[in-house]
Amino acid sequence: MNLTTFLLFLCIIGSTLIITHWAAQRKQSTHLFYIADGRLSGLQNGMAIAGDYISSASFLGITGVIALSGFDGFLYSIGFLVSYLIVLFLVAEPIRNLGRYSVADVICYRFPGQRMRLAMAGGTFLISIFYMIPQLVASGLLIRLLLGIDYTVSVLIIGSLMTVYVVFGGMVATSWVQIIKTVLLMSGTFLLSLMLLARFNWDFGAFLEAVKQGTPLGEQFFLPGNYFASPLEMLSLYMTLLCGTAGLPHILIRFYTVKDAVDVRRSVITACWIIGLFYLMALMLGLGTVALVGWWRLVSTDPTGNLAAPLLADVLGGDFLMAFISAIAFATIVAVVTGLVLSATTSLAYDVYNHVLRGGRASGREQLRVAKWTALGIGLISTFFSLGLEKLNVAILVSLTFVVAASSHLPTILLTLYWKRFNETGALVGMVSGFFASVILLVLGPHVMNQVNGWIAREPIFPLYNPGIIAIPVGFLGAILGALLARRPSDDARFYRLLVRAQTGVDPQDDAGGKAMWNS
Amino acid sequence: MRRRPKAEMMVETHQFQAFIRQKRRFLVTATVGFTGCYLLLPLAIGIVPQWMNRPSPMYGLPWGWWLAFAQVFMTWFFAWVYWRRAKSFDAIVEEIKKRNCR
Repeated sequence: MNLTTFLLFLCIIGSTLIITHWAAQRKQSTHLFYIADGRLSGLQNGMAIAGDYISSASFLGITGVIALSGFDGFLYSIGFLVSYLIVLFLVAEPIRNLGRYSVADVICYRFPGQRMRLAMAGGTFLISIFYMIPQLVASGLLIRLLLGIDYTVSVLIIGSLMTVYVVFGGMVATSWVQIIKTVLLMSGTFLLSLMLLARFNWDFGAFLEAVKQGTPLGEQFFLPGNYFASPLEMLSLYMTLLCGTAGLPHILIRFYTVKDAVDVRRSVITACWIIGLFYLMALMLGLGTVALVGWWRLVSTDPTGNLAAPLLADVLGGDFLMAFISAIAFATIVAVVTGLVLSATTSLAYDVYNHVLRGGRASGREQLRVAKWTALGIGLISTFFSLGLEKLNVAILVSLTFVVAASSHLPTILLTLYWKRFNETGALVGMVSGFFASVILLVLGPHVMNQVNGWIAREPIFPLYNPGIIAIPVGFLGAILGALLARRPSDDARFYRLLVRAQTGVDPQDDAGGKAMWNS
Repeated sequence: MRRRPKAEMMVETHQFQAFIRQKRRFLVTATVGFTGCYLLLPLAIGIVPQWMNRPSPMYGLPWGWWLAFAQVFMTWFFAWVYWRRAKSFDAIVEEIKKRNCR
């Protein structure tokens, strides 16, 4: 690692630790720890959502896939963006109006009880961990590739930082780490895009001509079919991405950090703009890598294409710019895993400990203490797991995260919010069927069954890498059939309470005229 | 301090039912609309690849690229539509609150 890179890394680590110190100085409470007292503005939260969402897989991965596979890489990125419309239209505001700290709050507003709370907490925890471990493993590999630091040291640094941010700074530090990352990421990619176009004298035609010369694919680079094995595979991935984001707990809990539904709306729309602009710039960088670095040099440096953006930075701005882009990649990784630690902590400390084990009666002080210890435990355990999983195929866990979120979490959330005849049995059956359909189809698919490098060396039974096209309908069907076959009388009164609160934010009385027992 | 209303009574009011009907119609129409636009891209690439691969007059980029770019603008457009429509829903909700939470 050269001195410039080292200093830039120190700047990022130093500034985020100062923010954590500042957050830790404030009067601590569970409200502050889990949701930053609900004091973020819509704009700040939108930036934090973008920071939480755009992972290194997006920044380095998508740029690399575009550089290697052309049009298909761009197609890949679009699903991540459009999914925010499902979040905005169907999920965001009702979740803000119904919940307090976790997604389980929303479901338990309608179906109170420990069984439902435990099921939702389990789902949230699994999704967060399934997503965090591949991020940590990938980050270790990336930092090694970028800076030549040993895999173990890289994972330990990132694991320790994410744990420190959450344990000492809670949601306040997490949010600001994500906001800083978004500012750095957007300014870095914008700067690279400008420098790139300036290199071609702002002549887009000449730029595209250079792209054609830089890839062995030639004209085929601009046509589909270089990355997705079949249109069906692409359709399945598109469905998974569209439905997946609205089931990701680390994104959904961000809606509690603003004061009301209007700010939730503002947050999601801000995130849509940032993420959309980011993917357009990532496209530029991917094409620019082909044009200036060339496919051959990229593949000889790293066959996965993950180094596309840093290599382009090197060509455009030399050592300093490359160090700057590497530092941004580092901030990107840290911001995403920090959000995931907080989400996993909420599910264990708030849902399981406070609600299931202590019946919702733990004092604020006790809850805060448990939350911090839980965050420490989750941070340490996931870091140590990641140390031993260097050879893990991370793609399978990332696929699993999105498919489980889309087929297990989303059906339960949507039907709870909008279907009057839905009941607890339907919710549980939907979650279980969506989860098992995802896992079974992934195990039977080419991720695992593969004659070249699969865990099971044979032809896959299920042909698609992404099982969303089957697993999502199974999750919805399971929830609907479970609700209909349970033959329970529907609890209309409870649904009306949910409807009023979800759509207006007004907290209505229960039958006895008292406070609705949604959070116990 | 505002009185907390009973949910059933609120739901049964003509005003609330009209609000839910309007909102539901908007959400269903918009969701079908943007999902349709979104899935049009993989479906068009799968079903009519010859159209998607045909070069367009703009820089010779195939039409598929412009359909893909349109998805980004489609997302921003629908987000703007939601922002606009949500304001009118907010006004109705304020009315409902005034009537029921006095």
